[in-house]
Amino acid sequence: MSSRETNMQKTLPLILASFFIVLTGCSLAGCSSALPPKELIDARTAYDRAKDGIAKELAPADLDTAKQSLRKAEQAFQDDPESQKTKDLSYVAHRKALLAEIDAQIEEADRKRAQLEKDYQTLRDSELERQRLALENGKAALNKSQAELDAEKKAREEAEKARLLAEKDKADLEKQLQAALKSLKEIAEISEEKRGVVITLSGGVLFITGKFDLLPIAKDKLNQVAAALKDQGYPPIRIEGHTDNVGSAEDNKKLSQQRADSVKDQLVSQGYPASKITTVGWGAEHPVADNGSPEGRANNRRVEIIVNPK
Amino acid sequence: MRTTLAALCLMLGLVGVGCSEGIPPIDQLAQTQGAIRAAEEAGAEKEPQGQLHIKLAHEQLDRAKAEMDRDNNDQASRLLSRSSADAEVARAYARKQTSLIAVDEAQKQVDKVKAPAGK
Repeated sequence: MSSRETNMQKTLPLILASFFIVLTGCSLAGCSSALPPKELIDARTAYDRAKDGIAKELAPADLDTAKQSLRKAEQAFQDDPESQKTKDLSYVAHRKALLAEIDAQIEEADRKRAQLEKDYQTLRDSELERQRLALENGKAALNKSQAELDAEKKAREEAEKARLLAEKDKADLEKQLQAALKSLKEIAEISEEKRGVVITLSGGVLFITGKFDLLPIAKDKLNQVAAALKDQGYPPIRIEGHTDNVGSAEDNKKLSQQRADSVKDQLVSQGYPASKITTVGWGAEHPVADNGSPEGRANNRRVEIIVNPK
Repeated sequence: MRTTLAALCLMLGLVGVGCSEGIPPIDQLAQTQGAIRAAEEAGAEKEPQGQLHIKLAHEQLDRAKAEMDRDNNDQASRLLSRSSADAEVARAYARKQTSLIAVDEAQKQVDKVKAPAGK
């Protein structure tokens, strides 16, 4: 018994020491040499992928959380490679790494969306501006063509008005001319000759024989002539005085000139421009009838007003 | 001799599996359930990867509840951590899907504005 106890006393410390060494060795060396569980391998892979990807820039906080999570799992593996805790912590670390990666992708998508929305706004603004300008240009063109149309219409209307007016004027003038000629015909003889329209006033109506003062009735007649020619716009006229062959040629010429001047003075007194009137006294040089008879001589005593003389 | 045996027992006790269980992780359970609900509300089940992680989250939640019933609270807590991590991942997948759809819509809007200008 004593020898047995002695042996026990000798061997027990050795056994204990060996046991302790094995245990310690197992817990230290065994840990580092043990294969990591699948969960830890997955966690490491996921973390490395997240770290090397966009998460570093776009989800740094999540990546840090994943890192802390993996560190805990690694620590648990160091402490107890086979434990369920190691697997569980690795499992969670794997999810945290995934989360970092997904959050980075979300951030990336959100940034892309924001940029697209900005692009859309810019494009829409420029499109709206383009449409506004096109509308403005169209409006301007429309206004321009409308203005052109209005101007054209106005011009056409005015031309028509002017034409009607001209027609009316022409008709009026014609009417006036006819009226004037009619009234003149009552007091004078009117003929159209090569030298122009000739209004012949009988000397007997205008003057007392041998005188060049106009008779009162003659003034009325001349006033009518002036009025009729006024309506024609005061055309240039030549007043010619004629006598019969009684008396000296010189006297006759002088008298005929004086009579022509008297007629001119009367017309000018009615507003006829003097510059448009020329006078000439022909004496007996241009008889229109035979001076042999009293009737012929009476016809030769005359004053002729040539309108628009040629 | 007795001292030596006591030391051995103590050592074995230290090295052996820890049997002490903490308090039931009631708060953690509620948080995990909340995380799963949030993922589901975000539409995680409509997206294949989200669906997978929601499934894992549910399975682990159920297992955690079972462990709590057996008073294995530490294990239950770790299962809840796993479940919660899966719920978070599922929710992230749902959010990613939403973001990608928004990108698509924005791209379509841009293309639509560009189209008439290009003609």
